[in-house]
Amino acid sequence: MARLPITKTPKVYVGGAFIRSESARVFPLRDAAGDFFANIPQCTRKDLRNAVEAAAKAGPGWAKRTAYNRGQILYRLAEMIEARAGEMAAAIALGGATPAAAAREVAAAVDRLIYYAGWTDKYEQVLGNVNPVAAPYFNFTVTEPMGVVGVIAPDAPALLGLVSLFAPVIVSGNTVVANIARK
Amino acid sequence: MIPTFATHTHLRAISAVVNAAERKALALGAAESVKRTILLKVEEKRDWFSSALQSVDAIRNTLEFKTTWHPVGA
Repeated sequence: MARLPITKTPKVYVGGAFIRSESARVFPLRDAAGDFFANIPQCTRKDLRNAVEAAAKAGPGWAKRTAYNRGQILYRLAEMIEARAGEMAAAIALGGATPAAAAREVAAAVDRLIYYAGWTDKYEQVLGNVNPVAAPYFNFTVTEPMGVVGVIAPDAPALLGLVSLFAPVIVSGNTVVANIARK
Repeated sequence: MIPTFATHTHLRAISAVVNAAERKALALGAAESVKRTILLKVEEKRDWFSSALQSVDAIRNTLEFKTTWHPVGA
């Protein structure tokens, strides 16, 4: 019996949930050959504001985690991408990349996450300082995360570009609202 | 969507890879309320695979520095 393929509906990831746009509209996503691939939600300005609100709520909890724990979580993210490398590469290949190039991009994205996972409990040693003073007190310069950061990722490379932009931002406890590849 | 990004007062910084028109929209909108913008030019060729693109400077871009004092021995 012929089987209908089960296709995945790409959605928007906000505050830990995969949501559809409040606009209830979608637009068709086509692969490199111009064939229909999926309908993706048409996000609105209100969706963006909702996402910023979700990121602002998530911020204190993320920043309060120990640097070591943030590193573990970033490492876990890389682990999960590594485990699903085939799926990621297939998604990138839809955009016209060769399978080899797509696999290389996924590998580079994983490596970049691991790189920043290592930095979480080390950047403070590099960027912070004990300042010299001439009296019996200490003067420290310490770093603090800024808060919610907007990220607008390039169309290509879709995955590596996004990872390269958001990973250094969340290392220090910032949260991100990302607008990813539009093609 | 770009102007909304730029003018949202809850965003502290914007890190973007965008074209000239979008850079202008971001810069104009961000002037009011966004503390820092890191705008890379999409027109520029850059090797995303290069390890030159990953550094502690990228982490520093979205940090703030606070200076504080503390008495010795207290």
